[in-house]
Amino acid sequence: MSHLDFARPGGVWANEFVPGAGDFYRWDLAQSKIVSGDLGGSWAPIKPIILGGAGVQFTSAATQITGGYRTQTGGRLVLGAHDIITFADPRTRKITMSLLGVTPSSLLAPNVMAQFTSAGGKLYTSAPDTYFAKAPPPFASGLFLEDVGQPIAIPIPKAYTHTRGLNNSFDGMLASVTLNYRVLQRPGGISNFGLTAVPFLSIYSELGPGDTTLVPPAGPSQLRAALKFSSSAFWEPSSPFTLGQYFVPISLTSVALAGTYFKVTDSTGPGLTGVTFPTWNTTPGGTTVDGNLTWTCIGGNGQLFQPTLDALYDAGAPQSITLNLDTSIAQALDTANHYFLVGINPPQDSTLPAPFNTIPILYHSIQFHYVNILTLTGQN
Amino acid sequence: MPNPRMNAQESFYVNGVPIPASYFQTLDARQSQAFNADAGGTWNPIGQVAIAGAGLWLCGPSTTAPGAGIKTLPGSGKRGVHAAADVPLFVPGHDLRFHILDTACNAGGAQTSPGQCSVTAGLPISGAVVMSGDGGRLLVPLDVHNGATFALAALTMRAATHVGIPGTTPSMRVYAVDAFGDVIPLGGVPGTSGFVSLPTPLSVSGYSATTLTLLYPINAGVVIDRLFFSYFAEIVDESGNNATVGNQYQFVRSTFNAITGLYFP
Repeated sequence: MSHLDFARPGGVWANEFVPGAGDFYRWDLAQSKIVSGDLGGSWAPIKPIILGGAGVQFTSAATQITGGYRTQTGGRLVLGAHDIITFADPRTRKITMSLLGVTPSSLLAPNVMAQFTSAGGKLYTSAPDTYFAKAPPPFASGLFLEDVGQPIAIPIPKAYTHTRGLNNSFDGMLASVTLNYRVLQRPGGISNFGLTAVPFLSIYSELGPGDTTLVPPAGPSQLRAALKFSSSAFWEPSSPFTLGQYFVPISLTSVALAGTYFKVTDSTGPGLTGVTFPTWNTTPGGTTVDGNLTWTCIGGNGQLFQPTLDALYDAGAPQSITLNLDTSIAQALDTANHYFLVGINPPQDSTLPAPFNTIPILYHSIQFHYVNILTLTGQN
Repeated sequence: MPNPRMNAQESFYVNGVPIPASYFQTLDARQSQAFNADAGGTWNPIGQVAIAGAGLWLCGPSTTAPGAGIKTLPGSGKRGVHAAADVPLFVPGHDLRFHILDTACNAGGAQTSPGQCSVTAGLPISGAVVMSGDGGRLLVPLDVHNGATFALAALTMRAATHVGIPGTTPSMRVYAVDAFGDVIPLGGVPGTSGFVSLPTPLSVSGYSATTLTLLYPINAGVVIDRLFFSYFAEIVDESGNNATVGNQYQFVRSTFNAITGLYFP
């Protein structure tokens, strides 16, 4: 054991003994080196302070290990029941899921697989291995859909989900889903899209093992209601809205706004829109005052709106569309009770006869963006 | 508060009253027991040293002894809180720096080229993907470990009963695919599509009805990055003379190393 030196050995401390100046010097020197358990302070010992025996307990939440810690062989960081490793600052995570090799399920459209295969839907890999190729190079790999006239659902493998952490229902939320794609051919027109249609891109959850009804989902439901638009219509003056209500505001001159959705986050007075169409702040999280309502932009709603067909085609260049979720509502994925799917509603060429008029699109990948990860418990 | 007791009450200290030697002996003993914050050292207290109040900051590199460790109190609800980007790290040689993941060839998302997969319930390998012997393709999305170095992929298959060695043996390549579909082979001959073939067996008995392993070394320095990439194995069935229906493709074993810590995998 390491101790500070005694000033004198035992056995000399008789009552007649009077400590000398040397003794007081040693005590003063020693006390100047010891750790003050009352006042605290900072020390920098030249060798580690090693505590064996009964060990040390940190009973204050203010304890910090700013220099890091290291276990030696057999040493363990042992977590008691309900104790977890948390992050001082919320973390984020992005995962890319290639759609190469993904087979759309038939949950949304029971006959979509038949259409998919009969129409020659194929995987597509890059040159020089053109076995799967249906579109010519230089297009890269992905899921090629053509002549698929109905929405498809793509189950998300668990490797691409970030399971909700143990801290709370906001621990590790899905903030956005981005679909990367190329339109391979300029359509003559476009149909099956709009405010009342199934969005081009959607994400939703369904009951997993806990669902005992054995009834397959009949349609796209919303991921914990965040995408549920209570109203999707033309903006009108002096219209009533309530706190928390979602809205996709468009006017005859602002169709581009139809790809964005907003939520009432503040309401004063009767909760009516203003008298003129406001200038909308389309930055996610940005606010817009409209009459006595305050709208907060949630972000993209998955609807595909382009001002022109040329813009839709974009000469076959890579494109992305992002669907933002309302993270003011808990959107952490509960993979114990649900499974999750991405829905794609392939747009149709209105100038061609259905059902073989799907605009040829090569879907490359889906990227998932998780935010507010609070603990090391929710990963997959 | 269980800090060192005073030698005597305040009333003990009276001017003109001699202080006994026992007082100084106790004083001397207690100072010798204190932690030396300048020189450091080793102590084995018989009771736990409990530090509450403003807590303790361990500002230097701190180490637990072999077999010892840090333990949160059961049910205390206390947290090990890690600052930005901090995670528990693994020293070289740690068991968790090495990870093997098997992906079944009929895993979710796996797909064969149309018409070239007969069944997906082979015998004796239940659940294997059974190919038709005409060069059909099988695409397998691989389970990977983010941040790890991808060292080796190995395909396990069982060849059908053959009367001769096929003209072209099965082959495989492993590649990364970025968000916009570009394919990057991770092994094989540089500048090619990256396929590696099963070595031609010396005799038909070394191939027919035999479980075989196709090793696919990954290029040096390939670190898994799931932020931007997905990973696949693409398998091409045998073809040519003596090729036959019934090769069973079971799984791809991926070996990862240089895992540095408890990052999101």
